[in-house]
Amino acid sequence: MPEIKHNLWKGKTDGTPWMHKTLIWLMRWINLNVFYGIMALVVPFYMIFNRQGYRSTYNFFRNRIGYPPLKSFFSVYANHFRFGQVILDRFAVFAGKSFHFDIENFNLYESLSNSDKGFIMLGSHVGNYEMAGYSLVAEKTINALHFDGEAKSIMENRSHQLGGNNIKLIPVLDDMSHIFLLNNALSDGQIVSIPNDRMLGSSKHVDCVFFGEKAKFPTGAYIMSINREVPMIAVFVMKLSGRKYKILVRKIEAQQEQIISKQEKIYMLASCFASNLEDVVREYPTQWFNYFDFWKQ
Amino acid sequence: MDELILELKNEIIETLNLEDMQPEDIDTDAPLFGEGLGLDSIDALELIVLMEKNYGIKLRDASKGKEIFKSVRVMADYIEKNRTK
Repeated sequence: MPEIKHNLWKGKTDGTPWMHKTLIWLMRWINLNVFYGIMALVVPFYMIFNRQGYRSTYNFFRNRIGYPPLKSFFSVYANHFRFGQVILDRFAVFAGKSFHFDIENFNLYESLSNSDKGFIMLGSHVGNYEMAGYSLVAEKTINALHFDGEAKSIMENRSHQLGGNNIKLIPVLDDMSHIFLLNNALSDGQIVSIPNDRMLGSSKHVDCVFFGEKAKFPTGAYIMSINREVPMIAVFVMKLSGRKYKILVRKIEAQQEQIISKQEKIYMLASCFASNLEDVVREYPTQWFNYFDFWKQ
Repeated sequence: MDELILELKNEIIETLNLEDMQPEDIDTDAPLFGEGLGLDSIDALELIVLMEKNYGIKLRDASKGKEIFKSVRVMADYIEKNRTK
């Protein structure tokens, strides 16, 4: 199987390093709502010029969520606006602004963090997963796997902000060094964080039913969990209002009453994740941020 | 050494779920990754765990791992010299 990088999404924040630095500087002095207001005006242009993003999101609301045409159109606007807010919030954190987080099922996260064993935290491109790094603080190191295509200025700010929270960023590289680092981390009882809805690095996947149709989900995290015998949780960080987020922590496990093969266990774990992801997306449909035909990735 | 090579090939087939392959289909000296057997990063993870669980060898260094996973022969040679199980 060939090594792949996602060909529809480059994992890179728009803008030049100079623009990022200027934005962070401005955010230190100007109220965040002003930026949200500007974003509201910019979104229609994104809808016009980012055709692929518009089409895939419109189809998502129309065919997956089942909205009528007009509601789908306005939901695309709401979705793009939310995405803009989420990106601005990340810069706002770099500028030193704080947010309020309500955490559902924190006890589960706490008990895993306090145990000697490592565990895997699954993220996805809904809501603002990166914010989990600023709020779900643990004494253990969190090793966060990420796509190695982001601008240097973003990565420097991320590393600076997250480093204080005991988070180490691990890029997906062709030399497979990330696999060794993640394996070492789990052996040492640390936390590994993996974006789990897009295929990065390996093309291995299972097909799970997601919104009524089969979609590909990468298998790397599940293989890691089975091999290293560590538990898994999915974390969703959903935006509620201006400065308020809700963090949902869900256990990902295979409900097994009899001994099953490794392949069956991988499928059960992936289906559990897909089902949790679908529940969350149904509750927060405007925070679905996969701007391509997810069912054809 | 030949016995260990055969054992290793069988373990690779079982661990990586290479259902259609027989030990003789795996070239002992061919690269495991890229060309040759064409394994990818997730397979590397499986091999790291295989080395640890079956032979007591913990591979923590990526550059060393890459050398060891060059071919089945190189792997077998390393196992023979370093195994604790």
